[in-house]
Amino acid sequence: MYHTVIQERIRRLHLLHSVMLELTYRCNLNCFYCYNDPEAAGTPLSVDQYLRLFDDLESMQVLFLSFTGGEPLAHPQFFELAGAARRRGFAIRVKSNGHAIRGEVARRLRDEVNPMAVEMSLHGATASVHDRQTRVPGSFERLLENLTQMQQLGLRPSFVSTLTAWNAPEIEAMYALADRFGVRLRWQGPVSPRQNGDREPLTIQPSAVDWERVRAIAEGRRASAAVPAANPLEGATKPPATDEDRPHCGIGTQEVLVDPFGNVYPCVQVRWSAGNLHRQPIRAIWEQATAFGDARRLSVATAKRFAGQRPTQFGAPIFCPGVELTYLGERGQRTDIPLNDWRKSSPLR
Amino acid sequence: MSEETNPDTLALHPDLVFRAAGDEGVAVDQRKSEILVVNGLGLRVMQLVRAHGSRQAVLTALLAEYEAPAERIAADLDAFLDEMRQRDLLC
Repeated sequence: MYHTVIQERIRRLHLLHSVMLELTYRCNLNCFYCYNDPEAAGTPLSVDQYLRLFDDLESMQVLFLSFTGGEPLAHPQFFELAGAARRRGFAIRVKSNGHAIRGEVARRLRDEVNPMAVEMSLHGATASVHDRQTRVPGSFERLLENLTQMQQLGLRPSFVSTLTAWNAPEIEAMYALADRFGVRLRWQGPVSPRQNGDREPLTIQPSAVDWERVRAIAEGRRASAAVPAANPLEGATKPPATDEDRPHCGIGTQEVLVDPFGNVYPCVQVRWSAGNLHRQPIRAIWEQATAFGDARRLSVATAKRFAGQRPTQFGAPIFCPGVELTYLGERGQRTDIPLNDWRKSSPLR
Repeated sequence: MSEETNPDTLALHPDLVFRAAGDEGVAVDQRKSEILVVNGLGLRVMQLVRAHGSRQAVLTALLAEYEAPAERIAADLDAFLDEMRQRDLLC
């Protein structure tokens, strides 16, 4: 019922249901294919601005709040922010590389945030592949140590992996590793250009044959009921099939992305500026910005473009119009905030 | 010495979070990543449990809000609370 009736109602009533917060682009790993723009700059949102945002989102009945980055725990006020979000009753997801979630950090995450899920990036089934992608020696062993600690504390970790040419030979072994720890493994892709247009990550794009192997293995696992039924690309939003102007994905209908500098976008890959939280509250942006309608039209146009087909992109059995825009040269739009504006609103004034 | 518990006291499980979606509610049991849909009355009961923390206070508020026989409202409330207990959503 949730995925049919309620999701349809959320779209029809234009309710904001889910928000993804890129807290920071700082990271303690250095992943080869990371899509973040390492040169991105702007005036970061202050803690007070985040707290106002959380108040607004609570009053708008937003349910899901995801903390991502970069590495969200690299934000110096992560626990203050995530704890405040928790007290406002959001269902919180933390998307992390897992490198710092150990000891006191893990305990605080459980006690102060209690996220519904901690999704951690798995880059391979061996240290040689995982650490090659993260470019930090020892990160694989540390991830597994931290995973064990998290499970002992009662946190709810899972794995997400971007399929690459480097880890494709370890698909089966990565599933075995996830099974060994009793956690879910979700695949995502394709590898996309960086937000600044840099195509270097595409050099490790896996082949269509690799994606077919993922599909076949996932199908086999479903058939044997070894794991709960799950689409290997279940992160992709499925639109209702009854709409006359059927969209390709759920972009622009119920979710927004907020970058560390307050820019609000329809999604991670379609960075059309809907506004900036330094200038407007989220409710005004959600209700007035044309970017969301434009994004929905892009989604509908994409569905019409591939009507009756199963589109692929770089060999992956999925097509993201935002990845295509970035590949073709479109750059994210940012609202420039003059420094004096920031000084007026800064608690450090 | 055993600690006495008040049978009237209600508290939502800390792993239960919920929001309104139009005139119904969407709840998440974080322990299972399970999403539950509740009707308008269920949504209101969860809001009142969170606000007041006792069955009597919830019932009093519902009686003031809904034009239905008191026995019917009390029965519906208890049925919903029983279902929540079966799902371990109250503590």
